[in-house]
Amino acid sequence: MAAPGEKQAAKSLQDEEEAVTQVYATLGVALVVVVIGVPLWWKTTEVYRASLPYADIGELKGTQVIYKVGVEFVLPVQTQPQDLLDWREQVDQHLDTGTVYSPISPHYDIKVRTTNKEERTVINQQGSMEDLEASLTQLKPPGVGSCTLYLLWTTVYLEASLTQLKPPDVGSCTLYLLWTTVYLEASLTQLKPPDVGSCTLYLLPKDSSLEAQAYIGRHRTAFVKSSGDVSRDVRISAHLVRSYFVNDERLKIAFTSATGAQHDKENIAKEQMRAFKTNMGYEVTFSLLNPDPSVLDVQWDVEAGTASYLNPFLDRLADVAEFKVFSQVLYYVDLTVRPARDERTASYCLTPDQLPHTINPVEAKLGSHVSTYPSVHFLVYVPERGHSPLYIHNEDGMESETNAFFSPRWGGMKIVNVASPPKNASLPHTVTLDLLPVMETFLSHLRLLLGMAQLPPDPWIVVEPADNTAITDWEYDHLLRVRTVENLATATATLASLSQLLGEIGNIVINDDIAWQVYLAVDAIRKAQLLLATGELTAAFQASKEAILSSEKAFFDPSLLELLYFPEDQKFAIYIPLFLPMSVPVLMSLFQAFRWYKKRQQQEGKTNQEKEKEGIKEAQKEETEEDDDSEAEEKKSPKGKKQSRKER
Amino acid sequence: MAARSACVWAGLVFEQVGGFFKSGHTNNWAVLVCTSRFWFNYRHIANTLSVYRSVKRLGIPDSQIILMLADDMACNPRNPRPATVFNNANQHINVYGDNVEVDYRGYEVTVENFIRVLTGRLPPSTPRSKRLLTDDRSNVLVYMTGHGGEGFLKFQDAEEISNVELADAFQQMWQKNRYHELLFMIDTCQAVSMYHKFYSPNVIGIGSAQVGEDSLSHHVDPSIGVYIIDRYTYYLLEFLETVTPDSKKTLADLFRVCPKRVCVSTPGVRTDLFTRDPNSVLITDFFGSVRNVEITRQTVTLQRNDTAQTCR
Repeated sequence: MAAPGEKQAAKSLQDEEEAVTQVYATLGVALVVVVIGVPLWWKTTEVYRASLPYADIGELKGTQVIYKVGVEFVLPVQTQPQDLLDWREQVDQHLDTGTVYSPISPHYDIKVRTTNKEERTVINQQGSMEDLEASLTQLKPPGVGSCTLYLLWTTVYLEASLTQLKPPDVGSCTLYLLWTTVYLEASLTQLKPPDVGSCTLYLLPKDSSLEAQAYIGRHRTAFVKSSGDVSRDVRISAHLVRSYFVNDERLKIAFTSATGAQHDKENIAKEQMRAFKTNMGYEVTFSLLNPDPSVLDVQWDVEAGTASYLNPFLDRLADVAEFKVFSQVLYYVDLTVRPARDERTASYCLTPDQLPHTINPVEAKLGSHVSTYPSVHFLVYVPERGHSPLYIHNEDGMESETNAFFSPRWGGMKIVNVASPPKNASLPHTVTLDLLPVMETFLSHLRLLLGMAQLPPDPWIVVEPADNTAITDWEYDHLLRVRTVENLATATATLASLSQLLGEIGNIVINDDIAWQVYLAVDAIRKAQLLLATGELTAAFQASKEAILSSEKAFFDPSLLELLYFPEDQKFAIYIPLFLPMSVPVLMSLFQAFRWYKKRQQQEGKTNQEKEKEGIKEAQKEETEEDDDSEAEEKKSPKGKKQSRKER
Repeated sequence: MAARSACVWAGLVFEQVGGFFKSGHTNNWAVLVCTSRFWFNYRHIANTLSVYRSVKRLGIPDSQIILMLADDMACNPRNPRPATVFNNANQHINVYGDNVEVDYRGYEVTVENFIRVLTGRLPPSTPRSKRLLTDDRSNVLVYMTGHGGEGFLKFQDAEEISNVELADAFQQMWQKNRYHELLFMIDTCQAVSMYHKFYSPNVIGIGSAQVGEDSLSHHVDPSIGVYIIDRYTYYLLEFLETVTPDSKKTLADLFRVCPKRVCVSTPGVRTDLFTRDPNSVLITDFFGSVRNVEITRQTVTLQRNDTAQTCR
């Protein structure tokens, strides 16, 4: 009897052992799936995102950009100390930007003083205004981004000597406030050798300048004619600083428009449309279009022309951007637009409506460009014999003086009429173009394309034209400042867009080197903001350039687009055939194991009941059952979690 | 003398912006994509080349057109008329023309390349002609054709672009100031589903068929044995042929192209993201390239410098 019982017991023990092995195997497999499989799958399919300074980027976006401009007002030595204080106070008032918050704001570092001995010597001894500015500038170099106002005498002859005296640094400007003509005359006659000829020379500009209230030199100096009324003088001086040297309104526009997508784009001033956005370089191409080379053999020494007229300008801007200059001659390229014949003047004319259509057909023949810099096109068109002379008419039907037109962010075109070949001349007739007027036109266009200062008209302010560099020192400062501010705004906006896009679009990859670029950009922006606030314009510009380079690299790097988008249902469709065959046996075994466990608990409960039948133990049993339930739930929950993960 | 030239200078500097800036854009770009290969998809190549022909005729230079063609029908051995692709069995218009510059061809036409072109995330070695170098003042025309379904467009029988992906790409363009206004046009089955997910401003969507509708082809050319062009693009080309660079036709006219009675499918338009009134937007704002110009009134004054000239 004992044998079958033993056998049965042995069998049940064997079954028990088998069941236990099965459970452990199941748990092992489930453990491998959960501990190794899921993390591995998670890790290999996740979109890699290096950590980015989101908080810093958000902060940068809200940071107010402040740029420092040093302004020095120099008053005549006769000025009373009380007047100096008065000046100071009123200047402060006029240059105060107010309490209205603006994302970009100037900080004027104002100094008011009287002329010192050296300046007086210079002012008294120099002959011309230009010389005066030069020598005054030599005397005491103003800090970068600052300017000096001299309240002295009248105009033209002073400036250059002041500059010599005190070579101004980049970004600074000097304003001389001129005293009344009477005072000037007196002091001039007193201090200059009594030479009649030279006296007249000084007095003439003084008389002519009576109409103008201020004179702005080529460097960083301005002269204001005093009217004797302090508040009026201050108002004019402040106007010169704000509208000419600094032009804070324009800076604000440049800044907000570069801030980008979030802003109302239609509010951008039209002048913003003319100029290219900040770029590291430009490709400038001069093209000579000769529609009929069998009649006219047009020659141009464009190499010499660019060397004498264009290069001084480009050299001046070497720090701002890189320029590549090309030239080409295109033959048999015709304007497809038919010019109308103007019988009155025996000429041909193009109306403003026709002009836009002259560019398109030519554009296809201008050739393709190698670099990714924006290309600037300057076309010289020599009309064929049958349509010569050809003039561009203004809207009012008058011939345009320059015979040229400008196209925003593209370039310009100039029509150059050459003398038709004489009756019996052998053809082709050789003509050489004079490049001076051509370069004058194209330099003006280039200035517009680069976003040079566009100033409001004012008949009371004389602005000294630039020399052959085609850009004055203070215009250069302004350009530098605009570019710095624009770069800063663009770089900040790029980073902000990037972080916003990372939130919106899940499958953008951020590698470590991209994150590095973002950190670099953030640092460079901070540095540029700091330098701008301390008035270090050149350094600020360089820092802003670094910022924009890094931020653009981070935004446009090809590695950001490593993953394509897959809709959720497609992902599910891909994962189902992979995971279903594997998960079904695992889940089934887990269920089996759970059932076995439950059964064993019940068995244990039974034996317990059999062994101890006391009421106190009953309560204990209930407790264990409760424990079982909670354990079962615990077991269920990771499974449920796993499944939900798989569905992802 | 000094005073005179100073005034000339001031004249230049103070010059006012005239009424020459008629629209808010300064340049036009076009991205034209045919996503399907193989001879039986001849019509998709013809579709794309029809639009290519029109935008080029209306003034967008090749340097500002990104043309993606998945196959070369003109030089296909099955083409009985080599180097031509016609829009019509009567051979009215040879849309292949004599000067086609294909930027992405054959197997280069992939979803990835297309998205890279739009978002500008191209490898540094990419030549200029394969880049979309637009700025905040560019009007961009995106034309796509191929086989599509609800919410996707197939590329090359191998992959597909979804409407979400496309919408995200446009958003990235917008965020980085890569367009001023964008016209998206698609000729495929259930075409309007492709613009449903757009969320970026200043985008117009035009699709050739509603969700649940097929976009149908126009007619078979017996000499090539396959359908020659799709209906929507056939009528679009017919309409664009009447447009000239100085035409005053507006987007509203474009929306009326191919009504249901000729198209069989129902073309759809989405303008809720666009701020301007389509009745006042010229066709040439997207399909042409009429540049803003202004007559130069004053120039800078340079001193004659002959030394450099004689030196050289």
